Amino acid sequence: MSVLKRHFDNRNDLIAYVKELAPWAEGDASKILGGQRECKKRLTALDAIKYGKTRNYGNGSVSMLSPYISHGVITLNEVRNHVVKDSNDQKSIETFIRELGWRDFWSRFAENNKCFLWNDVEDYKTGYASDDYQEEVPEDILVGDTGIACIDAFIGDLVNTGYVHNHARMYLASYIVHFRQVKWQAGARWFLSHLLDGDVASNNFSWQWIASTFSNKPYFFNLENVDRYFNGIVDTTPSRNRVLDASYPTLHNRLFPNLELQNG
Amino acid sequence: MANKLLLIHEKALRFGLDLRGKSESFRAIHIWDDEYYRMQKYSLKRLVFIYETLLELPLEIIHGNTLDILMEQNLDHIVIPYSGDEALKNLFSEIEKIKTVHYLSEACFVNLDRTVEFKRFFKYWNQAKKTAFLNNGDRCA
Repeated sequence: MSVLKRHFDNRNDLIAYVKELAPWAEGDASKILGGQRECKKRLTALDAIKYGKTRNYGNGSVSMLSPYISHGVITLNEVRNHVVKDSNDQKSIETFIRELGWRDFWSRFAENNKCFLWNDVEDYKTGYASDDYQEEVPEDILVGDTGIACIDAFIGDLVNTGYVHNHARMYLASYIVHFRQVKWQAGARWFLSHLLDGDVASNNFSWQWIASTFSNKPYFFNLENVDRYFNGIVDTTPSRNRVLDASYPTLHNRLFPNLELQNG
Repeated sequence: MANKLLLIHEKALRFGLDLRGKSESFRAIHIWDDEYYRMQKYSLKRLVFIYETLLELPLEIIHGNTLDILMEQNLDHIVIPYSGDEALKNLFSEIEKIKTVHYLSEACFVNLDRTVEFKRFFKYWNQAKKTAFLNNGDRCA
């Protein structure tokens, strides 16, 4: 037993110290800073009304509070109290408060259903059985070399910073489960190994929501959607994102051929 | 002189409201448990984030095995912020075998019976939104 160091000249010294403590830990440090001061800064900068209008956009006014909430630096209650204290209009902050609700919902569900944290809550509604999906995330995804420009950029965010915009997380999870037919559990495990806000309940049930094992239908997307929300942030050139460049009915029929065909 | 030990884990990197006015009688520690962190497969990104946050808290960061360190402490009562995280819950169960544990619960978000199960978010939200917009969730029942 020894008492660890509490004072460092700079962040690089701190990173080197943690590396020494955990030589087994993979990757590099994130540029996202830990700490209550940083959390407070983000809370002060939070604009819940703007969040409601722009949150789906890659450059939207998102709070970036999730790593701090996940590590208990701040609670859902404190974030909510901060937002409601200055608001007289419930409707304008509803989207933000509802997103906090998702985290509470997953946590409550996990508390009563821990067996579903790593098991399908329901069957896939994709026309496939669980056994039809691969057990492991393919190597090209792990290293961010899928050949799909926007997907590789989102993977870069995950691996390098430990933070991915929520909409991009949905794209990534959908790509892995539906375009590559990988079990959600494998993707969820991979996300958890990188995300600064990795929380098993929120992460895994969100993956199940995408996969359709905890929702009524699979979530999928196309390039047009990525372009709408992430244009100028990631490369959405059709020639560099061919797999995603199709209409929703075409993709639906390609990804879920056992389901009823869609026209379009 | 502290008579209780507050064990701060990586899912509660703060001092909660429940400790206001009582902190003088608590000795706060975080145990940097290599084996535990290794089992969680935390990346360097996450470990740095945790350590960086610990540095802002008035506590000692002790390096070693959680159970061994707690065994060495001369205090019978350990206070731990509760977490629903499965890995932590397993660790809590082990701690309960060697010490008396008192859990600090996190302030609730909404006023809902935890035993009522909602299988879809919209059903949860229909109930939750009645208190979700209130300061302290109307002090959740």
